Parts: sequence; structure tokens; C-alpha cells
Amino acid sequence: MPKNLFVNPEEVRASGKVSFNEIPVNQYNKSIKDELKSGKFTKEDLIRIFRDMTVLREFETMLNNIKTQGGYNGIEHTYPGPAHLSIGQEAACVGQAYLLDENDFAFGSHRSHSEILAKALSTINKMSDEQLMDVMENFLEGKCLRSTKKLGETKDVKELAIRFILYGTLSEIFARETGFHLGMGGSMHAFFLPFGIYPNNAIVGGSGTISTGAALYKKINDKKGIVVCNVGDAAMARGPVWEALNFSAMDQYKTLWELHNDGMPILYNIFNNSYGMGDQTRGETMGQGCMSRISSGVSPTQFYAETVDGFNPLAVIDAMERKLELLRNGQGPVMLETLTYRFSGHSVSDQNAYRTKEEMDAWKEVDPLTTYPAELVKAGVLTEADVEAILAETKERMTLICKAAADPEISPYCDFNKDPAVVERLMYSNEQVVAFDDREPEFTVPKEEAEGYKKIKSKSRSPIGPDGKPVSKMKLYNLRDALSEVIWDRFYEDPTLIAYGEDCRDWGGAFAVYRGMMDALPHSRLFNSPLAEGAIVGTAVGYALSGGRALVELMYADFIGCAGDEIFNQMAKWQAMSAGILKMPVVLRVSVGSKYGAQHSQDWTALCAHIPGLKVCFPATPWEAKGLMESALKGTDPVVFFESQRIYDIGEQFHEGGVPAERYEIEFGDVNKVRDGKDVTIITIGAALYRAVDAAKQLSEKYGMEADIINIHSLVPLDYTKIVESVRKTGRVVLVSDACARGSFLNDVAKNITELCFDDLDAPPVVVGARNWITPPFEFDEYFFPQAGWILDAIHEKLVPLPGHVVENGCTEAEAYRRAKQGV
Amino acid sequence: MEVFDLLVVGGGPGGYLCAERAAQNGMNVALFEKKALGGTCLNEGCIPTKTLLNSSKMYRHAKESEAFGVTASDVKYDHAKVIDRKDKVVKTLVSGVGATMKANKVNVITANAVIKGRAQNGFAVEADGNVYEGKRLVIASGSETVVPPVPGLKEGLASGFVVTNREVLDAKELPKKLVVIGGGVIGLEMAYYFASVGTEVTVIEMMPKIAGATDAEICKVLTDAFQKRGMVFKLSCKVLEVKEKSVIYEENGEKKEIPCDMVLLSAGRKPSTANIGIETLGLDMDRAAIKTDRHLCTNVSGVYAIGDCNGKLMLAHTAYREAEVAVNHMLGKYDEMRYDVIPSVIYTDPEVASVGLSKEAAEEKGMKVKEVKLPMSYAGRYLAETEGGKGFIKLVVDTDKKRLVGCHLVGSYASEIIMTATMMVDTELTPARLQKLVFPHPTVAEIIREAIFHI
Repeated sequence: MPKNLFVNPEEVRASGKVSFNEIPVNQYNKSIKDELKSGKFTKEDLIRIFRDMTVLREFETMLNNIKTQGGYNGIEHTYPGPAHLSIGQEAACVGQAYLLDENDFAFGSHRSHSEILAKALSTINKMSDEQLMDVMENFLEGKCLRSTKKLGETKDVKELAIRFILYGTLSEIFARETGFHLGMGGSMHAFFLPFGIYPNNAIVGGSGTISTGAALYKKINDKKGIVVCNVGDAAMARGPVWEALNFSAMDQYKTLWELHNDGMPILYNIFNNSYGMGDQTRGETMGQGCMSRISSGVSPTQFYAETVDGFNPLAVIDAMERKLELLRNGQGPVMLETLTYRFSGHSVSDQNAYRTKEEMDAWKEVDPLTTYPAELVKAGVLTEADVEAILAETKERMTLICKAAADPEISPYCDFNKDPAVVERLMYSNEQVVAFDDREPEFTVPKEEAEGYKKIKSKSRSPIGPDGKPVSKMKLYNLRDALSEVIWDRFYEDPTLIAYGEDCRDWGGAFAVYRGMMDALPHSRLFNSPLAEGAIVGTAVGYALSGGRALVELMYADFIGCAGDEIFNQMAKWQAMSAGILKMPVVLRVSVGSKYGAQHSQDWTALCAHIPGLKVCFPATPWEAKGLMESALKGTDPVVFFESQRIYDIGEQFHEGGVPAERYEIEFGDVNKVRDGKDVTIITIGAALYRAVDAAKQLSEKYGMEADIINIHSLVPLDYTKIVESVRKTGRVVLVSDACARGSFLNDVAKNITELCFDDLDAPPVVVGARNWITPPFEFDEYFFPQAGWILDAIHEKLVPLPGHVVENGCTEAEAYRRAKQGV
Repeated sequence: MEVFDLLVVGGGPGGYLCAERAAQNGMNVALFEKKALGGTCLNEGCIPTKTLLNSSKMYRHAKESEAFGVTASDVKYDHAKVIDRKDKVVKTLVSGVGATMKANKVNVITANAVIKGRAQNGFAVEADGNVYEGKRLVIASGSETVVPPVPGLKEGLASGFVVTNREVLDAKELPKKLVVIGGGVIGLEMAYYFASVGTEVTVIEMMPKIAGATDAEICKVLTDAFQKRGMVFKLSCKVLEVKEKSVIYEENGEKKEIPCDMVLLSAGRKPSTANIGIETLGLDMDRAAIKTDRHLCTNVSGVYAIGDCNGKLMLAHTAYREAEVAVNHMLGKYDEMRYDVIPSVIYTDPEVASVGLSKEAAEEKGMKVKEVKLPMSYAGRYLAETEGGKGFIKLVVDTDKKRLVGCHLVGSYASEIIMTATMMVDTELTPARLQKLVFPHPTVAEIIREAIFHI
């Protein structure tokens, strides 16, 4: 809602027509002779295109044989994992990769082996021997290269590099330690950054948002090259892919951005093989007829889309040339629909129940692996014997590679017995990076002169002023200021740091954490995103794994569901799936609401804590908020940063002297002990802390009992030392948060306390959570969210009788049975 | 408005003991009873039947003591006088309960109570036009006779031809021919009473045996003894219809009719929870029974259900203990209800008493058990006082855990002896330790000691 873009009713309401440009379909009509004559290709180029296609075909044929026959060319081997083969799609992949180099990032679909290998072969061809040796010798400290060299001498570095990429990819697929990611990624997560090969994805369309984030990284950080987003036709039906298209086509890059205001350097390439798994996208599950039509609904440029014959590598190269030129001129995003066909099944278990032999035979008639070399022979580029020689050489190489990748001596598995922590070590990178780039951060006003920053700095950091009187709300440094202060500081340190989300800029974020920053930062560092949570998180993932730092916001925690895949599968898992090659410095801010009912009030910490790979925190005091944000924004791991709308305005009540003006970090895992007592331990998460403090006060005043209160501000990781210390002392523990009790993270804490302190406990730990209902309207808050009285009731009913206490909101055993049986 | 610490709805054994214990612990209690304190037990159950059974026992002793060298002639049984005496006993006991309530400053409200649900100060109950509020609420509303959907039964109840445990105790005249529908404990005691004093009694029972879950061998002894007294058992028979002066039932697929001048309906009891306003509380129910946990808490914090209304074990002494567990929960004293060590008694002659598990029940639970069975004649006193007695004891011992888990008795004094075994089961002492207990000699109870040495 920028004020300088006037929404003019006269313009908005004016009558007119929307027009569309025609979309070219299979317009390429040149022959090999034409191309040779034009000088665009040498004979060697044309032969290499064929050679690359044979490498791709043989790789997939080999995997197919191993999956279906338990061996390949005399090598016996079984491989239990996935194999989504792309036999038939080789010309499309080789054509796409032909003009790309190591600076161009190609993200894959989940039928990606050919995409990866084509990009690698093209890059190898373009890189010098020195560059190639440098890449191979430095990748995983030369581990893959050492294994590759065991296959024997090669005639040149390029052949070594070809073996290297084939071997690294195959041993990754075979889950070997010698794979590109120690075998932890496998078939659907293989990639190789030094050649500009970025992750493919087991989630259909998963690359849509991630590659868009990578393009954003290139655009904002002035990095060389473009990004190719490869998705299949069926992926175009997925919401996040649409969100990504829209994100890449936002008007603001042109209308508002002061810097980096070129179009997004991204090509969305749809490898259309007509099928999802067994569903036909054309004629059955989708309605566009032609996939390139899709971009017409996203941008007036229609992404300069065209449809090209992916069975002719030269047609694809021809189209790619046009698209790359547009991108290099800053006219992205662009789109290509590359028509192809897969002869192999979706996976090797595919019975082809959904298509006829007649159809498959018709496509085999025009198989590029026979038609293209036939053309070359016809044009006199190759002889039949040359063709056979190339095929033989490819097969021989593949046999060598397969034998080595299957051989446990050359290609051992990670030894989980010797090293049980092999995966554990990959889960987090746990690094600290002040700046991901050495250029100067971009801003329009220096930090110290920025009004917003100065205002925070002028506030009282303690609720009690130097005169001993309470500080007014306006002058009190609150939890919002704590978050804001750190974000200000980090913006001026890390030039790659960008923040976006719904209404982050002009509004300052729905809860005003970014208020004032728009006056000091260009749009390229702080901007409003579309209301598309999948794109917000997915692009942040792509931005971060490309080398930048992203701080994104989903407004309400309830919207986590809209970005489920991006948070749970992408943000959480890429560090470990890449064996630590990728870093994921994404801080995802989500706010737990109140007053706004069932879809705007949920504490979903448990969902996030359940997913391995995420760090999860939920500060409840300004001191915690500042220290944790500092940690999160310096770290290299993905953090889901929970906040509560109940306490943005709250001042620091616990930390002596208030919130320090100096910068400091709170280590993830630590807990915050805010009250000392000997009789009962109250463990809290989130805003429930303040109700626990109230309960502790009542306990002390009415019953003469003193409570230890420990706030868990970092759920994952979590150090139990101080918790156990407290429980050993008190023998009683009640755990409180605003999350619905069933499946709440507190149950996990309670279970661990039970195991760690069983002999010290007077009674089992009691979890006091919100009821397992929808959140009713705010008027009924006290019936849904834990109150101080509930904490006393729980202590009285389940831990220790409080003399004279009458239970108001307890839960008897009979009630526990009933609620569980009813599911409420 | 005065806010009570506790409201108790129902003045039976559960209700009045709960009120008493709560008051003794400093609570300000209101107890609601629509009829008379003491409930079914005191007014229509345990106590009145015991007075009747004792009279009949004396009558029989007088008539049947030739074997002991005693002959009596012109022995008469005055049923009306027996009933009068019973009324006096009941009255004495009821007023005793009233006095106890008064002494403990329990506010007894003799009026129909209707629960009004949650209130500002906890819960509200309306009685006699007033609303009472209390921080806690105990429901002790008891149980009532089940009336099965048998044609003619309702009409019979209305006309007085069919009676329940309530009316039968007030019948001034002995019926000549009595049909008892249901051969459970309640039915058997009354059937036995009438048979003892000259009524022709037929018991119609749907199951193939009498006395419910009682040990099969004990049932055999009982059945033999009852048949000797002229009682007729129609087992595995189903009552089809109650007519004006007869009962029609089905036996082996054949329709049969027994003429009679009174029908006693004793086909079971159900929790009495309708029309008292419990729906205002949102209680979790199992049909008519209020669900409770081991502390007698219902699903609503502060609301308890004790005695027959929770449908667990409909016995007065269960209600007593439940009352105490509930009060202890209110006081924050750790306590929990055990339903597996509650003794049960049939006050016929011979008496039957048991506690804990039978061998079959224990094996069903997967326990490794040993059963010891000894004739009562091992006890000198039993032999001295009984002619041709068929009494016996059965002990069930968990051989893994070395614990007594059940005791089953049939014979004289069984009702009084069973508490000895109950303590043994409850305290979970080993047989080796139990062998060290000294019993007075001669007593019938010594049979337990004897049996322990046979383990």
C-alpha cells in the first residue's frame, strides 16, 4: 500500500479490453545443414550434443536395468531407493543446458537425473581444465575425486570431470559416502553447486519458489548468471508454483524499487511430458492445453513464453538463446514449455496402465536418440560407424562408473555403527556469520540518523525509571523494540540481509516491528510480499541456500499451514540433505495471535518443534527477544521465531537493570529462570509466562508456597540442565503454554522430565494447555487459554493440595478419560 | 446467601456418611434427602431384610431343632408383628443417623433436591423452593428397581400384585404362593424368607444358576438347601407376561403358567439419576450411571458421585468407603478407591460370603493361582453347632506373588468371618505371614487358618 501509487478510481473503473500476444508453438524449422551453414554450430558442437544425449540415456538405462533386473552390463547390484527416470527427455535437457555455464543456476524437478547431467556436461565443456581441477580437488576435500581416480587414467581433464560428475551423482543415488552429499540426498536431492546445478526436489513443484528465491538473490546481490526453474507439467497445478510466478512478476521491481530494479533473472521451464504420475495434464487433470499459456494470467509480458519441441535439441537451444537474451537484458521472468515424452515409467514400478503401446511406439518412432544421429549422418556430420563408436564409448564409461559406484570398497556407505552421529552432525550448521558478502550494505539513511532507530535508543530499558517511578507506556522499551533494535543493527552489518513478508514495509509489519525502517532502507532490502506464504518462505529458502540471509514474516502463526511444505520440507531439511553443503540462514517470524478467533490465535510451536532440522524459539520477555533475535540473525540455521501479540508492548520485568543497550546473544537451548522458589517448578512457553507469574504470586500470598519459574524461550534445541536442577529441588512441576494441550511441545518436556527426574518427583508433571477446541471469540478467552487459576487448580489437583483451595477449572481423572475419548 | 463447602444430594449410606466425614473435617455441609435418612439400605434394604430374616431364623430353629435335642410345639409365626418390629428397628436407626447429622452440624434438608448446575460460588441445588450454593457437590442419589419390559408388569405394580423390595417389606400378610422374578441376591434373600415361613415360592431366573456371580459350588450348596425348604427354581427361564393372578414364563421353549398371589420383582437395580438435574452439569455418563474415577470425581471438577448412582458396586459398604475417598479427595489427602477387595454377603441359611477373585476370574486375568477347598467341618465349632452342614471354604492364592486374592465361604457366620479374609486380601500379606495369626478357639473363623495351612 505505497502512497505514491495512486489507486485512481477513474483508471480502475475505465472500460477497455485486456489483450494477449500470440504464443509461438514449435516454430523452429531449421535443418542441421542450415545450422552448419549459419555457423552457429560446429560439427564438434553437434556431435557433442549427441554424445551428451547418449550419456543421459545410458545413465537412466543403467538405473532401469539395476532396478528391474538387479544388474547392468554384467554388474550385479540392487538399489532399493527411488528412480524417477527420464528416458526420452534427453534432447530437452541437453538443449536447455547447452548455453548455460557455471554461473547459471539450474534447479530441478524430481525427474532430474538428465537435467543434472546435461547441465554438468555443458558446464564441463565451458570450464578450463584448471577450473575443473580446482572444483574437483576442493569438493568435499577431494573425496569424490579420489574415488573417481580409482577408475583409472583418463585421456584428459574433461573426461575426468565427466567421470567425476557421473560417479558423484550415481554414488549419491546409491547412498554412498562418496556421493555429492554423503548419500544423504539421493536420487531426488542430488545437485552440484560448482557447476551451477542446484537442488532438485522430491516435492513436485518444490523448485518453483526456491528457484525464485535464488533469482531474487542474484538480482539483489548483483550476482552473475540467471536461474532456471525446471518443473514438470503436473507441477504447474501446484499453488506454490503459481505463487512463485506471481512473486517473480511483481510490479514493484519496476514501479518502486530504487535499486536492482531489473526483471527477475529467472526462466521457468516446464518439461511437459504430458503426464503427472499417471494422470494426463493435457486433456485430463489440467485445462490450459498448452502450458505456456499459464504465464498470460500472471504478467502482461506473458513471460515471453513459447512452446518448443523438446525432441529436437537444436529447437530447444534456439529457444533458450532468445530467453537468455531477454534475461540478460533485465526483461525476466521468462517461460518456456519444452515438450517431451518419457519412455520410462514414472518410476520402475509403473505398469503403464494409463497409456497404450501404440502411443509409446509412436513416440519411439521419433526418439531423439535415433532421429538426431540419423540427421547428423544425413548431413554428413557423422558416419554410422561414428554413431556406434560414440554409443560404445558411453556404454563403456557407464559400465566403469556403475561398477565403481556399486563396489563398497571404492564407494563405501557411511558407517552408522562406527559413527552413529553421521546424520546428527548434518542437522544444523551452527555457524555464526556477521556478513555473507563483503560489499557495503545498502541504505538510504545511516542507522544513527534514522528516526526509528533513534526512538528505540531513547526509550527506558527498564519499567522503572531512575526516579523510581514506573515508566510510561510510550517511553518504555518493549518486546517489539527489542526485536526491532536487533533487526536495525543487522541490516547495517549484513549486506545480503533482506526482510519481507505481508505488509512489512509501509505498515511496518502487522505488529510494527519494522516501523520506521522504510525511511532508511531501499525496497530491495525491505518490501511487501504478495499474500502468498508458500512463496514467502520458499523464496527465502532459495535466497538463503544461494548465499544470502533472509528474514521473512508470516504475520499469524496460523498461516504456517499455507507454507507447510516450504517450512517443513524445504527450510528444515536442505542443510542435512545436502550434507552441510547448503546453509539455511532463514529466520521466519510468526506471531501467535489473540482476539482474532480460531484461525488467528494458534500456538503451533509443537508442529515446528516436531520437524527435525528447524530451530524454534519463542521469546516472552524483551531481554529474551533481543538476545534470541541477535542469535538467530547471526546464525546459519533455519529458525522459526515465534512471537506473541499479547506481549509486544510489555517491558522487561525480570532481567536486572532491564534490557542491556549493548548487543548480546542468547544461545539457543538456554532457558530463562525468572523466579526462585523451592516448592514447585512452573515451566512456561510464550505469553503464558505472565499468568504463571500471577499464579506464583497467589501461591506465595495465599498458600505460602514459592515457585521456581523457568521460561523455555528456545524449544529446539533445548538444554534440560537447569530444568532438571529445578525439578530435583522442588519435586513438582507444572508446564504451561497457550498451545492446545494435546500434542503440545510441553508434553515432550514433561516426558523428558519424567524420565530424567522420576525419583525426585512427588507426582507426574502436569501440562496445562489451552483446550483442544477451536479458539473461541476473545470474549471467552478465559475458558480456553490457561489462566493463573488453572495453574493453581492443576497444582492442587495433581501435585499438592492447597489448603482450602476450591478447584474452578480442573481436570479430574474422569474428565481426562472423557476428553480423550471424545477427542476434545 | 450462605455458601456451603459441600452439598450432598441423597441421604443414604453414601450421602450421610459423606456429610458426616466432611463435617468432622470442618466443612459446612448441606445434605438433601427427599424421604428418610438412611436410604434404601436402612429403609428398604439391608436392615429391614435382616430383621425379617432373623425372625424367620428363630422360627425355623424353634421348629427344626429336634436333631439338637430341642422340640417345640405350637410354634407360630406372626408376620404382622415381625413387620412391626422391623419398623421399630428402622425408625431407631434412622433417628440415630439424624442425631449424628445434628451432632456434626450437618444441615439436613428433607425435600426433593434438584441440581441447578454451576453457580457463582460453585454449584447450586434447589430444594423446597430455596436455592443452596456450595463449593462442591456430591451426588449420592442411589438406585432403583429395574422394571423390564414384560407385558403386565407395570399394571401389576400399579395394582399391588407385583411388589419390589420396597413394598414387600410392608406386606402385612404372608402370600400363599409367591413368584420371584430374578434369582439374584436381593430376590434370593426375600424368597428364602418367605419360603422359611411357609409360603410356596418359585424363583424364575433367566440365567442357568442363581445368585449372580457367586461361586458355582457355593450356588449348588445354596440351591440344595433352598430346595429342601420347598423353594422351586425355574432356571434358564424367561418371564413372558404377568397376568392378574399368575405369571407366564417360557421353559425349554414351552409356555408355562404359575398361579400366585404375589409377585416379587427383583430383576436388578439401576442408578437413580433421572429428574435430579444432573444434565445441568455436563456429566459424563454410562447410560444411567455417572462415570467416576478412582477418587470418585466425576468429569466435572468439584462434583463427585458416590454409592449406587455411579453403578460400580451397588452395596452400602461400597458407598461408605466411596464417601470417605471422596471427602479425602476434597481435603487433598491421598486416597483411592479399590473395588477389588469389597466383600459381599448373602444372608440366607447357610450364609454366603466372599471377597476378591474366584479361581476362574483370577485365571482370566492371567494370574497363576492355586485354589484350596476345605469343608467347614474342619472347624470344631461348626461341627458342634451344625447338623449335616455342607459348608466349605475356598481360598484362591496367587502363586507368583504369594498372596491371598480371594476367599469364598458358605456356612454359618460366613457374613461375620469374611472380614478376616478381607483384611488378608487387602493387606496383601504372604501366606507364610498369615500362618502366624492367632485365631480364638473354637470359632468357625478358624476354618480360614486351617485353609491357609493347606496352601
